[in-house]
This record gives sequence, structure tokens and C-alpha cells, in this order.
Amino acid sequence: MKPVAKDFIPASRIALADDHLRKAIFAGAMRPYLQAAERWAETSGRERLRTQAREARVRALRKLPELLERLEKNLLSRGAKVLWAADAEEANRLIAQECVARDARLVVKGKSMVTEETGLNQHLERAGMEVVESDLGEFIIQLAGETPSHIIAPVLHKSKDAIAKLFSERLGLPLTDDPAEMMRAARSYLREKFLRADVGISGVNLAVAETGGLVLVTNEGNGRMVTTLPRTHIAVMGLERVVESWKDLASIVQLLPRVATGQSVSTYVSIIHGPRQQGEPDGPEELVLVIVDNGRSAILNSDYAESLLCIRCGACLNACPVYRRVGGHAYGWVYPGPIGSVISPLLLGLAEAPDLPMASSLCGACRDACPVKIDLPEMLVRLRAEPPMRRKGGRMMSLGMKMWRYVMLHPSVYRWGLAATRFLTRPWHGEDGSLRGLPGPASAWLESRDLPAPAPRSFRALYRGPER
Amino acid sequence: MTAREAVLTALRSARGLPVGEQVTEPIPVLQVEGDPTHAFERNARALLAEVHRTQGWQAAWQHLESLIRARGWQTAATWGASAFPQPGLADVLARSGCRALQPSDWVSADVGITGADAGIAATGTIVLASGPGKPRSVSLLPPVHVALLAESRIVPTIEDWLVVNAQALPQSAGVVFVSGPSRSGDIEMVVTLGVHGPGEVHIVLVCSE
Repeated sequence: MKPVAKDFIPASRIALADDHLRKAIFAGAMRPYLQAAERWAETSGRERLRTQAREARVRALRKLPELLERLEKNLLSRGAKVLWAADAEEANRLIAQECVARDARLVVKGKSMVTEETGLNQHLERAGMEVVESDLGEFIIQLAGETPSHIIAPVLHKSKDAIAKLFSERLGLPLTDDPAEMMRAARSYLREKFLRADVGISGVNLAVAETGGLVLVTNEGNGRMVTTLPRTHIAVMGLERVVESWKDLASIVQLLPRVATGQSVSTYVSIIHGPRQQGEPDGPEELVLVIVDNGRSAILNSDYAESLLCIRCGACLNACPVYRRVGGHAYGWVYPGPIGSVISPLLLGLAEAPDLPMASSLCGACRDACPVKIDLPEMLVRLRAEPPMRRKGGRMMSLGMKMWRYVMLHPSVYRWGLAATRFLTRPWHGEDGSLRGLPGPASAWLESRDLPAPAPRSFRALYRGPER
Repeated sequence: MTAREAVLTALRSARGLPVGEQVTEPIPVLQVEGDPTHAFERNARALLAEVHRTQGWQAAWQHLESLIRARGWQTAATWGASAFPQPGLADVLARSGCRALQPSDWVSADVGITGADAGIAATGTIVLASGPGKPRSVSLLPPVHVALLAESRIVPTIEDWLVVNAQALPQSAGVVFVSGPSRSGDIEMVVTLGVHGPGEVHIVLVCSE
């Protein structure tokens, strides 16, 4: 997927002006998630489970190279093939090679964020293959030629009517307002694809090094189809998605659906230990695992290693006041919301997404919602101070901040400064007690902020008692 | 240097997470209150699976037969006879006039009939492990899935089952935990059933006599 993360500010303006989108995201679509999250917040054992899930991920990152080698060794011993890709381009090339070697014409895909990241679909299509997304949401996105707007609910931004229209244009389904009917149309279209596909490509929610198992968590069953019916299954995983043991996996798998959708359990959890074994009547004859770095080892070597704990549940998106108003597309790349604001700049390069770390009020809701307690606000603040970011807002901004710091450190200057400000800004005090239409650089600052005018009497003066 | 070596070298020399954070061994957190079988039943129903309680295998097969008759299922995809703890499936199908299809025709079967390797009380989940006589597509392709689960195979939580079976897991290339019918909420968050997997799941619970 081609990143356009540079344009967060214009894109968010467009999104904010889109009433349907704001209603869809904020009023309708996210409510069940938020309610579920609240219910779950009251459950006993929640904190213990969060702690354990975090510890499982921390342990995994500390032993990452060793765990990846164990995973590889275990899978090889059962006849799977394991490939490593240093970057997106190499991942795409390797996967395309595997498909071409098997003369694949039709490829069905389960949900995979990492292949969104590498732009695999376009790559395979250019090589002449038909590539079909099979997760209902991803399928709709693909038909519409759009990109996902949420990590686990890719079509959160699309109305029922828009989807009905799309299905009537592309699948010949008579216009309907019944989601079940649309679902059935997609089911029968995709069913035929599953049965004919030469290769199934899936993501990996987590891999377990202890025995070399790949775990997929889905609700629809497309993940099962893709990993059961085609002759060849290619699983693609970001190199950080491994845990050490089944105990560790249990903590995370019990937590993931609860924070992601409020379900106590996802409909299907598939555990894959290689291609079809001796005596097994079905399942793929070949399994290829592609382990993708694409910037992750560099993150592990930076101040932002903690972001690799992420289990891609979407809880921080749902909790974020900025995401809830602008939606996912404004973020311009695969990963929206708070986690996207942290990892998009890291994976794409800071200069490619300079606004994203600013796209946060630092309220901390994401940190509270995160099942593995990633300190997202802390990382956003740290990113803002990185060299390419620092000049954001120009010299006026940094001069203003330096002055502010000086004033706050010197009480007498503060006192005089406040009195001077009260006097000098008098022409711009609005009726409602706010500052309106200040001239010069201050106007840019106030453009998206409401600042109250200085009160007639300061707190200090009130504290000293009534005026005599 | 291959990509594999390059990646592993980069990871080995990476600074990694700040040290100091304590990491302990996980202990089971979620518990099941009361009788596991009752909890299983309650939770499976909450997931929109239908649970049929029967006393012993004899009764279970009889119940399956009446279910097939009542629903008018004509064709079935099934696990191999040897994959069920007790014989009886062939008779049930013969008596109810339901035809067992060849694997190549399973995509058009009315119902898929399987056993179950375990039940998870905390969530109402059934566990199906692939193996000889236990094809994965039986519980996946038909619009209806009927699973026969022996009460003795119910464990309290997912964790209990995983920890006990960790070393045996790789013997099956594909293990799947099934929690109710296939579902999606992608279109305006309206839950629809039977997206790709079965839209209807029946669990025949075989209790000890």
C-alpha cells in the first residue's frame, strides 16, 4: 500500500468535514466496541491477564532471535519451508516466486496486515495473478479499490447503502438494505474462489516457538478456508509476532477478542503445525512461512522497541478521540490510530509521516485501553522531539516554546508577563471570554485552539484576598 | 550474507527493550464457576450454538437421527467411523435416509458431522484436531455442523487444554477451536451468521450414563 502519511493534516480536515463518516465512526459503528470494552473493564482478572499478556510479549522480544530459530527448526522438521525477507520488496519477490513456481493463477488471501504493508496484492497482480481478499471487510475494500480504515473492522467507514451499491455494480446483486443478503452474495462469490484457488495466503496472529505452531484468530472462517483448501498455504508474518510457549499464547488469546470486539472468544482459533501430515485426509500439501523484517529489527534497536509488543487488536484506535473523529484514512497508511502514529513514522521514515506524532492530545486513553500496556503517549512525545520533527512548526514555534519555558521557570517574569498579556491582548478579548483574531504568528496557534482571554483578576490576586 | 543471517544478526545486536521489567511465569487467570458441563452448555448457547444433552452414546445416536429427520438433511460429510469413540454413525445415516458423500462432493453436503477432541467450559468452545479419519473440511464446508462431544472431554479453560496438550499439538497439522457459528460484523456492525464457515452449529453432548 502506497503511503500518503505525509498528508495527515489536509486529510483530517477532509474527514472532519464528512458528516456521514463522523456519524458512522463515532455514533454508530464503534459503540458496540466501546460498550464491550467497558463491560470487560469491570471483569475481575482483567489486570492480571493484561500483565501476563504483556510479560509474554516482553519475554518474546528479549529472546526474539532464539525464538525465531526454534520456530523455524520445528516447522522445517515437519516439512514446511521457511523464508526470510529483509524488506517489503524482498517479501513480495519471494512470495511471487513461490506462486509462480506452482503455476498459480488464482490466489485467495486471508487477513494480513503485513502484506498490506508490503503491497503484495499489486505485486502479484502485476505478475499476472488474480488475487482475491476473502475477509468480508477486506473483500469489500478490494472491490471498491480502497484501503482499510481500521485494523480489525476494515470497512468501518462505509455505509450499508454504499456497500449495496458496490455489490450491485460488481457482483450483480439486486439493491438491498439487508446486510445478511450482501453477506450471502459475497459468500457464494468467494466460495467458488476458495475451491479453485491454487494458493492460499494468510497472515499470522501469533506463532509459538515451543512447538512451531502458527495461530490464526478469525470470526468468519475465511482464515480456515485459505489454510485448508488450496494445495499450497503461504503464511506471512512480521518477525515480532512470536511467543515462547503455549502458556504465553493462552494469556494473549483469552485477551485479544475481549479487547478487540468484546467477545469472550473469537469464533475460530486455528493452530497450524505444518503441511498435511501422513494419514491426514485434507489440508494443504505444502506450507511456506515467510518471516518479514521490513524495519522491525531497526525498531528493536531504537527507543521505540516497546511498540513491537503490539498484538494488533485495535483497542487503541477505538479509545482514541482523534481516531474517532477523523477515521482511519486520514492516517494515510496501513496502521491508523495511536499505534499507527507511532509505527508508521518508524517503518516509513520520520520524514514520511511528520504530522502523525502530533495527531494526539496525549490524553492517555490508548495506554489504558492497550491490552499489553504499551506506553503510546510516551513514545508520541519522544517522536515529536526527533530531529526531522523538531523543526515542525518552524522557528516561531521553537522560539515561542523557549520563551514559555523561561517564563514558567521565573515567577516574577510570569507575574509581569501575565499582566502585560492581559493589557496587550485587550483589543482581541471576545464576548465569550476567549481570544479572537490575534495578529501574526499567534493567529496560526489559535486557528484550531480556543484560548480563554486572561481573567480580569489572576488566581494569585484572588488568593491574596479581595481588593481593597 | 543471506536475508536470514542479516535479520538474525540485526536482532542479536539490537538494544531491545529497556532492562528491569520483571517477567514471571503465567498462571491460569480465568476460572469457571460451578459445574463445567453446565458452564459449557450455557456458554455455547450464548455463542448461538445449539446444545443437545443426551445420556450415553445410544441416546446420542438416536438424537442425531431424529435431528436429521426433523431438519430433512439429505446428504452429509462426515469424519471416518473410526474417529468416533463409539460405533453407530453408519446406522444412523442408513435409518434416516441421509447419504454420506465422497470428499469431492462435500461442498454440496447439507450437514457436516464430526466428533470433538475437547470442550472448553469457560467459553463453550469445541476443539477439533485433524488426523486420520478426521478431515478439517467436514466442519467447514457444509452450512450446518453437528459435533458429538463426550462430557468426559470437557475441561475448564483454553489454558487447561493447551498446557496439557502442548507437546501433542504438532501431531495434528491443523487444530481448530470452534466457538459457535461463523459470524461477521463487517457491514455496519450488524452480526450476520454463516459467512464462510457453517451458519448453524449443533453440539450433541454425550453425558455419562
